[in-house]
Amino acid sequence: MDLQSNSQAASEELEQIVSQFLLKSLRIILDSRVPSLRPHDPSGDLSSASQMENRDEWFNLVLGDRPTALDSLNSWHRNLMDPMIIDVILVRGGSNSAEGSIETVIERWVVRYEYPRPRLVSAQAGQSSALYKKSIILLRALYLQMRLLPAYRIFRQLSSSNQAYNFGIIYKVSSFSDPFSREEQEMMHVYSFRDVLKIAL
Amino acid sequence: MNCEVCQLKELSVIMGAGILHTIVFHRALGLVRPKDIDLELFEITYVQCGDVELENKIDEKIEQFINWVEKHPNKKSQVCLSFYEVKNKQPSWFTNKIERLYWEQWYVNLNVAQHPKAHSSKSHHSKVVDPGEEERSARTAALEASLREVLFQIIKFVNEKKDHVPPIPNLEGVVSFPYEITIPSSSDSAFGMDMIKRMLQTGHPTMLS
Repeated sequence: MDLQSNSQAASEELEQIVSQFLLKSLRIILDSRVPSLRPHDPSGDLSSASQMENRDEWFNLVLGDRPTALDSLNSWHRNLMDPMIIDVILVRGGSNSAEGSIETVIERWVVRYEYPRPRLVSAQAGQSSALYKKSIILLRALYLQMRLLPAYRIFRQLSSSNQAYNFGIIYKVSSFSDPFSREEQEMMHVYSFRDVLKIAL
Repeated sequence: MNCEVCQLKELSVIMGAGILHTIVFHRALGLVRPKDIDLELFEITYVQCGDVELENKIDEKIEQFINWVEKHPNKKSQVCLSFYEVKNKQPSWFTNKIERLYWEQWYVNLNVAQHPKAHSSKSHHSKVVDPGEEERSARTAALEASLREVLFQIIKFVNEKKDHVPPIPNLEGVVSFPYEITIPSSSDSAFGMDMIKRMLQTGHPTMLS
């Protein structure tokens, strides 16, 4: 048995899971916060070809057509070791307002792949399925949590009517960010999702 | 393998189905298209698996539960949602049944207090503000807060404890693992016996011999 290629395959599998996990969590977060990303509702033809192509079944969570804006993000996040930081930003005021628009970060989501140093040389075969299973659960919890936090109400309000508001939600995705000031930190509540898998040496 | 148990904070029975759906959503690990449900009474959205068969089963159990509570108004009552693995035990003089190893149990504590009703049509004609209205909206706010708390309790539990979840078996149906929803049966003591039997079954096999 070629141990070298087995562990190579296992590593690649793990990396693919991590990469898709980042994408999926990005999708879950933005889908429930940014109204402008909502894909245009199809006329109801469920058998249309485009629906099948874009159908993303990773982690057994089907979310419908992927917004085209997210396609470019797919290629952006090359280094899996960098954290993915998603800021949900409330924009108030605008051209009407004397002060110009004010942007406030109302949520910051940090998705990080942590690994022990030195880097694990040989990944084991069984780890992928355990990792995948736990990721499925975590993403379910994330999906629900997005709907329970206050920002969801803003999203729903903006999405539901055609009325023009003088506020809106935009987002920013990056691998680094300015830390919050102490004042800002004090106003924010921290939630954390426990590690999905710790790989021991 | 140990059995993880979660006792949920008490809730109004009108949220019983929603809570069961929420728990199952985190345990139906097969392909799911999530279905968002907006509650009319509270400004809360929760998530279902969107499976009709599951929905019917949950509704049926909740209805049975409410019937039971109406017949036993003063008894404490809970709905128990359990997940188990099926082990084919070697037939012996002790038993030749198929054994169930429970790995997770949720106790949903529901009370059948009067739930807030919509503004009654009578008072539409009256110019006097209904004195009960403020009380009703305070009660609604309290119910909403407790519901939100229980939903977060579920999220916390499923996130903190993942190691005990067995590998996903190849099963039909949207819920990946064998499960059962237990409501109190016609006699209180029978319900208690069921619970004790279940607790014995979750023990390490050597405990039973």
